[in-house]
Amino acid sequence: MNGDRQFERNLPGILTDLGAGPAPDYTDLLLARTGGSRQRPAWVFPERWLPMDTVARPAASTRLPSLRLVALVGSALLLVGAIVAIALVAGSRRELPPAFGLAGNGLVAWADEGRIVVADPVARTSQVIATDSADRPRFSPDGTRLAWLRKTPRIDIVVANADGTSPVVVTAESMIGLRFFEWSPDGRSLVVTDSRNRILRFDAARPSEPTVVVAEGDRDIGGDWNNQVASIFRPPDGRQIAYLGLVRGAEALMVANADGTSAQAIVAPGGDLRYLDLLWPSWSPDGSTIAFTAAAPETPDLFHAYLVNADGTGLRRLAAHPENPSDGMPVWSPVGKSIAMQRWYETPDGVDVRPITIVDVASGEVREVGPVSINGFLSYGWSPDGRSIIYAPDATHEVLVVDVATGNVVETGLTAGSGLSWQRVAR
Amino acid sequence: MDQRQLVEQARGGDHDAFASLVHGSVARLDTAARLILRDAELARDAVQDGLFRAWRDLRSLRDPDRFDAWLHRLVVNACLDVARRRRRRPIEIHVAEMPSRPAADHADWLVQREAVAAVLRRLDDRGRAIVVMHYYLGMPLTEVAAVLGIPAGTVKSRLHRALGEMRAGFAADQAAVAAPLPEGTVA
Repeated sequence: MNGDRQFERNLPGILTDLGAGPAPDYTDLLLARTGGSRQRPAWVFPERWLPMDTVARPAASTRLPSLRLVALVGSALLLVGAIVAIALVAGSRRELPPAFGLAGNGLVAWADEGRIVVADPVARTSQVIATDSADRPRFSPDGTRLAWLRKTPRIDIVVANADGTSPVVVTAESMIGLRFFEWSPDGRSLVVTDSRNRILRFDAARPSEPTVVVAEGDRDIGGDWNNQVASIFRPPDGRQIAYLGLVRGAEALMVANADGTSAQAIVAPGGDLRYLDLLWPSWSPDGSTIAFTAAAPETPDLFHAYLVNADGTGLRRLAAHPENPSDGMPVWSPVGKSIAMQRWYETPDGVDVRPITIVDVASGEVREVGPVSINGFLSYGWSPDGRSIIYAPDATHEVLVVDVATGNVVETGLTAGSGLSWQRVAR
Repeated sequence: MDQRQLVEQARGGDHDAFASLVHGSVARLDTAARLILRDAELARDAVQDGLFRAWRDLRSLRDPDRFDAWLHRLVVNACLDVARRRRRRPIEIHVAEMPSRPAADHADWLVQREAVAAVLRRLDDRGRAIVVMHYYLGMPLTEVAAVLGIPAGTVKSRLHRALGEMRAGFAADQAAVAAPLPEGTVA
């Protein structure tokens, strides 16, 4: 008994040791945030108060030129320079891929201990292009630019050419708790979720204040470590977005115009699906269907993958299994015939993490490719040509490329510390 | 100026007073959040969320002497909110730095520490929150139960089970450490 009591007395100290880490470096940031915020008056509790200190201006509506027009005038546009809607790598004249669908495979970018690395997975060469507390790089849809986060610990968004040259910080004011971010299909802006669960749009060309697209959403649209997952812009023109919002205080899957107007809940509480939590909405490449995951109230840690039509009809489970595995991070292939996801089974002996699971959307057939990783995968995503999946197991961080058809795995000899972004180039 | 006075001033809108309160508590809250969430970045988010709510809702606190307990609740709720939204990976392995301890009880301390770490890894977020709230933040069981919205008896039984597992792990490892090496074995 004395030993038990001694153990219990030691427990606070043990917990202190286990939880210890560097001294918090975000206090000033936090106080800057609270200093700019009002306290709620005593009489309002418990009602909710929504801060609205950013003037919301609707984003200028843009029409994407038709692909045929791009093809016809592509060469001329390449000579125009800075006023063209899509930034170009200086001095080059080349075709650009469409914003969605199949494309050619370019370079791959990732972050590793504060550095942005751009690599050629075939040649197995790599180059560091940024070193300032950089994280989570993401190529623009046309492959000409690269955006990443700079965390110092405030967060800024940096946009540069694909080779890292000419970086521009596009956040006029550093942010706190930025989570999800994605390029708009036309490459003119970047959409992010912030710590206040807003969806904000930034101009990708210059520092500016953001436009509030959604004032009350969910910042966890997609995993912050895997940039390939969750895409909120609806193909082919990106005029609509899918996101996680709130309906009657509960999470819902929403579809709205790209400026946030005309929002409608297509998966909401009280509907056909009983759920506690939603994650990772992602449009199919043809813009007809949204994949997402949901956890039931009874099993909040168990997520399953679902598909739903853009209008909210046709809700169905993706690849149900009698052993009831958990599904994570569904990613559409570039042509939309398959979805790659992470799957694991809870067993009495522990967690059985499976290799990357590929589901044929039409037939529901399931197969696995590549090796097992004990902690799952740090990041994975389809190659732009749809033939491979690039991924980095959490255990090794080694960048691997698996041929989806044959299952052959290529070890690149490179290691990655964060989500992988594969550059799309013209085919 | 004591904490009560700081709280009263902060409640009246004095941001400098609130800043003093933050500086005095953030390290402890950060550790608690790390223990619950097992992720430094998520812990940072949760602590910031909790402290932001504390500033915003400070006028709802009737008794300034309850500030610490109230703040703990806000941060723990923020942690559980973050945990509910995050679904990172199937398994997480957290490697913490080894502490420096006096040599005399170093071996026992390490064994106990590993036993605790092993149990924390197996617990879910709410289970870790229970252990952290009671043993690290010093919250009484009734308060832990109130934060989680569960009966105090449930909290007690979960704590009892977690503690039992820790003790069992410690005892097993201690026995392994104490067992003599077979003859001829090189240590």
